[in-house]
Amino acid sequence: MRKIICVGNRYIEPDGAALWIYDQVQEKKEKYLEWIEGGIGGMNLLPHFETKKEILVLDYFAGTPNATLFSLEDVLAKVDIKEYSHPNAFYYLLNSLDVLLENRPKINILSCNPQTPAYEQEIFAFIEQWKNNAA
Amino acid sequence: MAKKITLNVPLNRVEGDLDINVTIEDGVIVEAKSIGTLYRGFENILQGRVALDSLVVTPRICGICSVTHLCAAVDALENAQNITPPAQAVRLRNLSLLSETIQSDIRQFFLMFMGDFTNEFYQDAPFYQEATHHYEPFKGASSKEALKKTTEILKVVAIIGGQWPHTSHIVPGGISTLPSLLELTVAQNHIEEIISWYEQNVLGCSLEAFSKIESVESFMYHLEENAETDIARFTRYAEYAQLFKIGKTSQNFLSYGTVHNPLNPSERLIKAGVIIEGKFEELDVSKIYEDISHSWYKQVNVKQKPFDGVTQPDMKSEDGYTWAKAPRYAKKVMQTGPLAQALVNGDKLLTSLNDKYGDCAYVRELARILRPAIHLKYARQDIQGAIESFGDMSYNQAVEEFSGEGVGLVEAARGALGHWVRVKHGKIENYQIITPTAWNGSPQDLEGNRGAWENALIGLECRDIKNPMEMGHVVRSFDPCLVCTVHAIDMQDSKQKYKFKIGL
Repeated sequence: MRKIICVGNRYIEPDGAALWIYDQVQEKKEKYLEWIEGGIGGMNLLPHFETKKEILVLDYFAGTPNATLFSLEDVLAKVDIKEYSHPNAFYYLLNSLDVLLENRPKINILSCNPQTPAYEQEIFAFIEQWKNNAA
Repeated sequence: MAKKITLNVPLNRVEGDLDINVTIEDGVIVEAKSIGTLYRGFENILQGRVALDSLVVTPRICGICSVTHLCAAVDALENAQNITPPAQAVRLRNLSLLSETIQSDIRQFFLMFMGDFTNEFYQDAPFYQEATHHYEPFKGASSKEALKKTTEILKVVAIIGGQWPHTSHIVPGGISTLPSLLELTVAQNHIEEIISWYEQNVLGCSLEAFSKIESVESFMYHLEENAETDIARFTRYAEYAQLFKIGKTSQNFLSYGTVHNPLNPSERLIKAGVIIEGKFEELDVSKIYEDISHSWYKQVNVKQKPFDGVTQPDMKSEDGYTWAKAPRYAKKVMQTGPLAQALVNGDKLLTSLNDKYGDCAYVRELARILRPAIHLKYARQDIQGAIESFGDMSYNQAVEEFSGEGVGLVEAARGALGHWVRVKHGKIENYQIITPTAWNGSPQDLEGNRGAWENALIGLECRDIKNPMEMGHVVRSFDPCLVCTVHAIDMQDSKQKYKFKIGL
């Protein structure tokens, strides 16, 4: 079992890209995946990281090719977060996991870029492959 | 060769942006403008939708106050249909709302306000090392612990709501989930765990013992006796930073009250009301209106009652400088938040502190970190009540299609939150939301009265214009739910413009 957390503000384009992916899987029944609407939960998503399941975070990154996979370490090295604030709460949380959890799960982050033609198909194709690797 | 990828992480997704433009003359602020830079427009998203859609859309306005918006939306629909929820539902709703507010108060204090004392601005202060040890972002021992504990309290909402985040368990007529007895007991354990931590670290005594401290003198004595608590450290740092003197705006306070009495849900155990120029009055919702004279909206009707409120964006409006409207109560600028809640409710300690020091940044922030002392007592009472009443009905059937008007008034972490809804044949005809930050961060009105924190900044002395920490303390003491950047113009050299990211 693996977990996918979709983050972003669904009411702001293109920030809501991961949530629009989430909306599409609501009708499906996934056997090996747990989908979470992380939305704008920010710091409040901590309970979802208290797990041994491997986690894939879906998020929109401006100017980044669609379906690009980053490790958590890559992202944190690039994001300069010095203090907690409401808008950067999610990345503050990711940056705090090592001090908050004894054994944090493996986390990767997948970029969703809705400006790419057929971005949903690329994301679902990636997830299908990622899921099969886990099975 | 490795492929180079630029990564621009979105750091601006909660509710919107806030700029504060200040003009400084000889080191003193002479003008302040609070500018909401992002058009929100949720009111327009809701028009024409099925009434129950407000339970799904409005919690997504804010990731921090999601449950609070849900409660306000439900209250408005119940008010429109004259529905009273059963006692067990009231207890579980109270617990959901209290949990969200407690986590917000604690995080704001530890991660934001106390974090500022570790800024290089204070590197020569006698407390700098101590502050860094306890409150430095990511590393501070007390901040880390606070973050862990606030996660525990949010598990209470997850247990009751059955989904986290963006839960929708509160519905007109009651709640839609049925937590088991075991789950309620687990929730009770989470509440007791945070009470124990809060008593030991923040207060230095039990909730009951602290409630007996009613005067400034006995409070200061308590701090001396418990010098290693967070409130004692905060008071020492505040004294050095002169927070007792800055940030005053007025003695007009607004609170919608909170914690409904399960046996009489229309009664709020923390009462609603207003204080105008120091005098308490019962709340009269009909006195609330929004002034849009300085907002970027079509100037059709400059003073709008919320039920008839119109949200038509127009960036060309002549005097407009913000997307925020200016809510007023009986033509008065009101401040809202934990201090207003405490004063309206007649809290003796905070009343005596306000009498002595006024609504300064210290008293306003202290009210925030002392509020869990009250809220945790109600949370303890409600979870015990919910366990004892396990199996009782928690839902009354709501009317499916109706016409009517309703208002939902809730105390959010940042103060008074109101939802006004008009429904026709089951569809939303009009919806208006007045958030606490709209009250505190409003622009000027037609009469030229500045908003609460605009006014609090006037006359403020800034020691270092390149790092205007005083402004940060003042604005942060209101706890705006916006990303905030202060832009300062130095009148000695009008070309110079400094930016100070408060990072709210």
